[in-house]
Amino acid sequence: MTTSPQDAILGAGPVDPTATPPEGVDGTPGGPPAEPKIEGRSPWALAWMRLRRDKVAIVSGTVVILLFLIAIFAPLLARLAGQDPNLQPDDPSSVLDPSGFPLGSFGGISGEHWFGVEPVNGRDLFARIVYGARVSLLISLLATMVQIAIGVVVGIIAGFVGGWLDNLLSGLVNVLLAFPIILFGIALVTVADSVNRELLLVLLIGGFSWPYIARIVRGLVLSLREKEFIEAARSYGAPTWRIMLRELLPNLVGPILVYSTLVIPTNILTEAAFSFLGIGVREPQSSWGGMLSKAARGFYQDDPMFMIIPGVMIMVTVLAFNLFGDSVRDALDPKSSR
Amino acid sequence: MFRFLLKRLIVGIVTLWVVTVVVFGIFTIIPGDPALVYAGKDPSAEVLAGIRAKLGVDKPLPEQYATFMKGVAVGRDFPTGPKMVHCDAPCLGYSYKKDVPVLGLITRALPITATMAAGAALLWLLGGVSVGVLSALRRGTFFDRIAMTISLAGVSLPVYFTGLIGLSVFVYQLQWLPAIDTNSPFGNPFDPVQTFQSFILPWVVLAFLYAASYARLTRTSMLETMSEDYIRTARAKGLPERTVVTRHGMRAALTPIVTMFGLDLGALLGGAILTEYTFGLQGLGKQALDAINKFDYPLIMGTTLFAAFFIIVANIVVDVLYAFIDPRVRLS
Repeated sequence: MTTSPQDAILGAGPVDPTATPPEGVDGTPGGPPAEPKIEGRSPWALAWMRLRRDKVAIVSGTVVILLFLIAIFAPLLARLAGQDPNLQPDDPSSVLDPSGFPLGSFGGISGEHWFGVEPVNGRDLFARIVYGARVSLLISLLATMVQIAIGVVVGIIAGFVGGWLDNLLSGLVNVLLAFPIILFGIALVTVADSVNRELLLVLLIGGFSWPYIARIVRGLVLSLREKEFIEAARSYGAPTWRIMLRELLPNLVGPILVYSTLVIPTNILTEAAFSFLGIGVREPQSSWGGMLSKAARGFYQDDPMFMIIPGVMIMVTVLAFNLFGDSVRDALDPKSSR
Repeated sequence: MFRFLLKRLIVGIVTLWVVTVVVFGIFTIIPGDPALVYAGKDPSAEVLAGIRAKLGVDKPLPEQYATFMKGVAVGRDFPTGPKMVHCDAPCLGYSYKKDVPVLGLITRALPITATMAAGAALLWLLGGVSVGVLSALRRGTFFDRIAMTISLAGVSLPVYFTGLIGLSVFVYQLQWLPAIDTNSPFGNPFDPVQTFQSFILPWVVLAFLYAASYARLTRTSMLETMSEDYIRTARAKGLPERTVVTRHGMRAALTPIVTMFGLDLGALLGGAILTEYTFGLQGLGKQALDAINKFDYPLIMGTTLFAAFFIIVANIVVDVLYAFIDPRVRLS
């Protein structure tokens, strides 16, 4: 996080109708005294305009959309390639040498197996990679939702209600931040063996990483609650929950959006890390981290493609989300200039 | 200043205490009967109950917690099988699987983790900060763009991927480095050359990850600082640019780096699981991971507490350092 929470308070949100759109967007310097065309633009429209002009945003956004399409249409893509992610060849010797390594160069890449095959069991790597995108994106997105939901609720309550509740919640945040999450998560996953792994991973990643969001939201709420429009709402007797939902929340949408796009890549990495440590989704479900884990157990030396392909997939995905997140932040924050 | 210190210390101790309660509660409730380790094959219910009573795990949870905390404070005795084993304070529990006090296992694994963390920290601090400062000063140049592109790739690459690539290239293909002797990475007896060869890849891989984010943070912070009024004032009074950059610019720009550095180092000292696992180094993280697979809960619990301790200490140190660097913190 390179910006302080204060920087992230952006012009977004419908609450400040007096704010004029920043100049320089459609500036008409000089020129004849012809009537300057004044056009009202919402902060969201301005952000969208900035985003559309940002080349990095276009490229990274396209990659992100492509990744989602791959995840959604994974079965279709696998069928298009004529492969099944879990099918082991009837005759392993057709794709594997006697010691279990893929036949042919570059991990057995061929017209039939676009990304080659997996060592030992000969499953098609392309099919497993596209199905892996599903696991990676689904878990990290759901975890992000859990994380944002808890973080926002806790942050708003702690910041707005204050008092002992704030102390209690802030204490909880501090305790959670002091937890070695991966270690603790591994222990929990091992114990809760019968629970659905995907669900557990979502709850674990989301359930432990919300304190950062809560801290940021609390900080924003602390400054927002002194604003006049909150005072106005109070003075006409709006109930607390209504102020929180209708007055505070809309003002938080921008920063929350920015942080969501920035925590998704972190969650992708966490999911991959759990799979790498052998406690992610279970076989025969495929995941990129799980493939790297298998590669690390004695295959990466002689079959480097089996390590490189999932590794590059993780990198491209995380990079695309990071770049897109940065662009969204810049687009929503008129002050930022890189 | 003293009051500030005291307040931070008290908050830290309370946080640590809450962490012990939570960790103890969770690891005691979850299944895994330590009595089974000592019982023979197919033990009868009475035998198991007897062993449980001896180990004290049949007592109510609060009482077990009190015993545990007493062990931390003054040490305690463990009736392990035939004999009593004394566990000195601070006693973090007893590994029934390995038949030794947990703290002994932790202190045995700590040098590996500490060596890894310290070496990597030195590299990433030097590398990340200098690249960040240079990038900020030469904003928009070719150097800046290349450095920021590499650092962006750096934060997007998981250590276990870069680690495997490093192993594949330098150990397996080029054979510049021998395979890491995971049993004694320091050499037996201590051998500086072997230590260097064992740790150079983990250092570089770990440092690359952190240096990337440090470079980005330093650049942003430096850009912000260098556009402040007091920098212009410093330049206006004719100070050499070198002094302006180092004395006025960097001092202010690097305060957020101090915070991040302290917290990152504290977290790493509790175990760099992914890096240790990738290179097979038996540090705290790897040891805990192995403990989990063997259901050795006292060891996991001890390591978790130990790691939490480092994180909290790092938090306090950072706050105090911050108060020294930035006088405004003390006043508020």
